[in-house]
Amino acid sequence: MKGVVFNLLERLVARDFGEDTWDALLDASGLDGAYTSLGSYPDEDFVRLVHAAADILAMPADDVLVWLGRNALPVFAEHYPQLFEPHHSTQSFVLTLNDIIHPEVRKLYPGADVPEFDFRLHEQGLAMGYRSPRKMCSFAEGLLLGAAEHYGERLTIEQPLCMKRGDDRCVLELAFSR
Amino acid sequence: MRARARLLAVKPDPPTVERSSAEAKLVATERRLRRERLARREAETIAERATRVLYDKQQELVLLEAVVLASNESATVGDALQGAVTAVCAHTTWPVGHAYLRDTASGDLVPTSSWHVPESDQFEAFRGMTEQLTFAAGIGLPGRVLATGTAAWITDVAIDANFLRQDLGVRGAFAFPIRADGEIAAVLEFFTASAVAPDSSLLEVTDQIGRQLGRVVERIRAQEQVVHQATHDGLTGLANRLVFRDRLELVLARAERSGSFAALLFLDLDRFKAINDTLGHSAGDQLLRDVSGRLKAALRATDTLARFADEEFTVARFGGDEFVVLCEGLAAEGDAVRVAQRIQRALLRPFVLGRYEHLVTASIGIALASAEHGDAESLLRDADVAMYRAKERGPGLWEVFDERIRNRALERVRIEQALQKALEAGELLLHYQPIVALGDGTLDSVEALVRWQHPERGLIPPEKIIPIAEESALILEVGEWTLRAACEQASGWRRRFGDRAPLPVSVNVSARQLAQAELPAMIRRVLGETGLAAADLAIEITETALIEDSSVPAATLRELKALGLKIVLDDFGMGYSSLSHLQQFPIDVLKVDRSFVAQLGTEADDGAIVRAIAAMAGALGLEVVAEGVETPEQAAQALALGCGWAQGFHFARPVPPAEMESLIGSPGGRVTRLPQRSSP
Repeated sequence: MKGVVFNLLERLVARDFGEDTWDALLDASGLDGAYTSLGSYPDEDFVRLVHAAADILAMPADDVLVWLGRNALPVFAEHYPQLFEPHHSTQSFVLTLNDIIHPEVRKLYPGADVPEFDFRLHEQGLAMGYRSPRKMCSFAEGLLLGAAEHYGERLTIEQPLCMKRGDDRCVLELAFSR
Repeated sequence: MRARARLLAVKPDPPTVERSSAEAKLVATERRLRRERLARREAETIAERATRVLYDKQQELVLLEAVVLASNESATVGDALQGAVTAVCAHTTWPVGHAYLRDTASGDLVPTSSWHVPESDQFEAFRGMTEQLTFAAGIGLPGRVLATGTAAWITDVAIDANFLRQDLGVRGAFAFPIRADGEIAAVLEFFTASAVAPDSSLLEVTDQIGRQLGRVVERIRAQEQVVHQATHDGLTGLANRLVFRDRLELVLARAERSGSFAALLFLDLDRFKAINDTLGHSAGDQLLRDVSGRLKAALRATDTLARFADEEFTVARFGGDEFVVLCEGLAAEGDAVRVAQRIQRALLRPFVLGRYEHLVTASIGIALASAEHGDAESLLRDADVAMYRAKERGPGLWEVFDERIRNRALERVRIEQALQKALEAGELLLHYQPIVALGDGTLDSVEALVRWQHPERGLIPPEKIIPIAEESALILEVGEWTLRAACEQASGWRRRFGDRAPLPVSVNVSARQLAQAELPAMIRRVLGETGLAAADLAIEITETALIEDSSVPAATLRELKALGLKIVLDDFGMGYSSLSHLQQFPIDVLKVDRSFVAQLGTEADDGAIVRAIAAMAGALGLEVVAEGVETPEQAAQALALGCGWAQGFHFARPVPPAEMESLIGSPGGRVTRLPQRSSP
């Protein structure tokens, strides 16, 4: 996993819970915490940090990932406005994930191992498939909620399929409203 | 916000310790830490930016390399455009790319088959719409590029007022031009399903791609032009013989499989040579271009009948005024005739050459591809033969090749070969027909007529020999032989009979001989070699020979006249020459065509034509000979109508020299009535 994700976690934990909390997470995970954005680090490190956060903050690890995604999105919007500006709705923005956003991620962080998405538009909304060996659909869920807030929309998410429950992919059913 | 609230709840309280040196140290350390962290972030940002630039540059290099590679491997402009479209789509990961070519005639951008689209049918409707549109300058995305000459980017086509193909699944778009020879030759456009902000570095690369492709287009155009020049007629732009032969063989093979009919039309303009000679070569070239234009238009126009739907035509010019049309996909054999008629209709309207309108017709020979006509060569030959047959029957006609014509053609070839041998073997001989003064019935002069003493077929008359010889260069050899033999004979008679010799001797000279610039020199040489005085020789030319070619013979005839020999106009009345037309030629004698003489004495005829001819000849100071006089009544009438001389079976058939001599030697030399006897 790219160091930039670790940096993001550090930045948001320090912002919302103080730098000591971040130190506590590192101690609890037995990690030294020297992450640079361009470096690559074991996925295992990130999993340990998320679980440590879940313990210390007394909440499910998935909720930690939702929180991370939701708070990461405004950071992205601030750093990469050109990816957001052409769009006027969450759905239009989300549909550019495979074709525009992730190719851009790979340009900044060569070798980044981004998840694969698939999309199906239907009458009730958008079905978004997620596939990644990291099974971090909750992070995606948080980012989606953050994106909806960015575009001033309400979003409800249901998840009929999940890799963590043994399905071969996750499916997030998205319903937007203003 | 449930998780957030809980997280906030566990945020630890800030430590409450007294200020001390330890505390000051801690503050300093934290400041140092912040500095380090800021420095680290800045370093990371710089590194990320550099990584991104490096990545972009690498990708751009990959893209340019792909474009260069594709264009180097391209044999056609279409291939090069396709290669670039694919490479740009691979680079941008945009799903749709398409190339327009500039139509040189209209200047508009027209869609091509160079596309990049996903295999799914997601963009099928967009593609279908695009393929139906052509864009003028300023219209839509491609037209914008054409008008400004620079690349254009549309963040979201849905909110762009000048984008025509709305609601078809594309949102982000850009397009850029390709320049060749200083002009926009093509425009490439790319689309993706979502809105995308302009990418200035991508637009810079497209500029380089445009230049690269422009060079490729220039190279391929130059090559195509060389190939086009080698395969097309420079004057009319029609296919040339080389391409046509290829196409013909392909079509013959296909017709055999499909069961449809193919036909070959061979066209030859009537009187083209006359137009070329009288109006000049540039007018002739103009006519050929106009005819080619009419041919193309006539064959392109869709006939109202549905049965023409599958027909395809290939038009070529074989050189001169020879055009060929290959028809394929004919439903029935008779359709080939319909095509010939369509062409002849298209030529009906007068052609404007210089300041005047000219009526031009074409003789058309039709050959149908059939099982026997397996090869291109024989089909071409047969169409050619049929065309000549059509021309023989008159201008503006068509003829379908069939077995009869083929046999006649074969017969002709056989006779031609035999005639060549006959010349070498000395089987040709001359007979002489008396020309009689109608007033007193005396033998005046003779016409020399060539005969062929065929070893198996016996004596063959000139009507069978001359037309065949005229179609080949043989007429020149036969003509020279005839002239020499006649001059030798006449020279002998002059020596032997003195004033009683029936001279001058008339020798027929064909149009083809007349066209030879060296004819006067040849006659002078023969006269010298045979010792015959020029005044003892007359040459007979037909009226049609004068019409076919009006400029050359006038000069040649004047040259011949200057030698001192007589000029006789044969078969007069069959052509359509006017009096003023005849006046340019130095003619001494008119021979009234036998068809007018044959009608003399019948109830339907009052002799008006012969009288008019005789009167006209009298006014011009010409002698008049009635040809084909077969009865005493015709002889009497001809004399009464003003003909001074006559020739025909009533007086004498053409006879061998010995018989002629006994006639000369007869007392009084009167030839009122010679014994009717057939030649041996």
